[in-house]
Amino acid sequence: MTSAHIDEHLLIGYCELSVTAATAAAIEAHLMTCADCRVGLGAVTAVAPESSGELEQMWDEILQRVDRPRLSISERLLGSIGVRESTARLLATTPALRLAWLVAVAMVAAFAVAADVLDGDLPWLLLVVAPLLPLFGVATAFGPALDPTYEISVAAPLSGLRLTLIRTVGVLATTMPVLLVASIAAPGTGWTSLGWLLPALALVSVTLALSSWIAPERAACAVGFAWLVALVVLIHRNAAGDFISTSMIFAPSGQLVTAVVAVAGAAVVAARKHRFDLMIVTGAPT
Amino acid sequence: MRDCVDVSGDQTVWSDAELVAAIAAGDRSALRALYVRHQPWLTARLRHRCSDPDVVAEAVQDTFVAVWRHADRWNASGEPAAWMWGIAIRRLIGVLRHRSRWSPVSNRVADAPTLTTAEDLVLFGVAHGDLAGAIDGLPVELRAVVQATVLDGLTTREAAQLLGIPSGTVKTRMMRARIQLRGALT
Repeated sequence: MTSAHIDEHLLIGYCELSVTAATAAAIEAHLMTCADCRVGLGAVTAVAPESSGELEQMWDEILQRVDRPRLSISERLLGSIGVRESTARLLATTPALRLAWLVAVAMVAAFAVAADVLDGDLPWLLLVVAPLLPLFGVATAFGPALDPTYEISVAAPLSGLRLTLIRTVGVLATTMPVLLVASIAAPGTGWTSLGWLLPALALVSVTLALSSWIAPERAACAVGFAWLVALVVLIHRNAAGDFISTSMIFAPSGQLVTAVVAVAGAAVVAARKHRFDLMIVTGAPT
Repeated sequence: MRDCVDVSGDQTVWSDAELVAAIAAGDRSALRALYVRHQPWLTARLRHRCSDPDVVAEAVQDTFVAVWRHADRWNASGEPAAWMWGIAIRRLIGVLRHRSRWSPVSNRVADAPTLTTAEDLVLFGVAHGDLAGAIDGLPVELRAVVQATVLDGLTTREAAQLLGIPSGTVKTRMMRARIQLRGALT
């Protein structure tokens, strides 16, 4: 079988789809074993004037795809739920989206919940810690100090506010589920174990608002510090030394205050949105 | 391990196996040599499975990208051409599914002008009995199923995706084709 080669007319007929099915099958069976006839088929098709152009064009496209960096798992996941590729890249480069970060968040939440379970009936340690975790995620998500794509975003025609919000959403979307799972295990009745949720949003919102004045990591430190001071003050007011006062935050009035703070922060961000473009350029808006 | 390939030599004279081994090591010019050698017949053969040239071009392109990425998965004992055809036909199915539109297998007219002579068929060794006549005598939809499952070695499910019909239909058509072939050959 390999001693004989396919006639050129047959190869032409094969390429033009004008041979019978049995002949096509015979030719294909022979082609799989005979390198010479594969070359011969290439020579037959190369006669057509447009074929070499197509060959080179396809090769260029193959080279482009070979050179293109492969998408990371998170980018492919985001793409599969309909996020545009450019947005997915912006999200995937958020430091807080790395596995190490998520593991760290889960560990901190787990220890806080474990301490709460051993300690009493209110998840106060989770309340202290949980709002700080998304806060630090946001602090590292943009700005010159910690954002790995900062240099690129300086040069890119990209709205600073859009970048900031995309990254913030990325941080919240990954950190919050971990914390929500932690709150299931936390002590407390009903919605009490979710008492950290509104404070967390309020802290992030205020941090974003402050970022329109100072660098984001400083804003996050300031807000986090303020949060701790507020808790200490609340605790100190109660001379008995219980954490009863802390439960103010779990009460509807305390939740309402944090909600108002969150909305106020968002309003400031909206009002000062142009400052975020400056921040991208200068690192710290002044 | 196989012998180390000669890096300095002219790659157009290398064997396919040597080229694939070089591609696995990240040699881009080896990919080029393999592409020039195999693109024409892969394209021609896929054109017999799908009548849309754009779909075929995309599948061929996908095939070489896949070869570049997965050259290390080729087991050095097989024939690279067969390995590449296995990738190509599955990439074709993938592209068709992705575009979620079905381009029918080329509908050859029964009395199309043919260049086949009896001698040709004897040479290629499929003309035992009147197998060739029997295959050509099959209705187009049965022939497509025989082609996909027997000649291309696809599973029932893959053949169903390629032809855009349910798996059950592939099985019943294969059964009908078998009965008809048996009738024609005995």
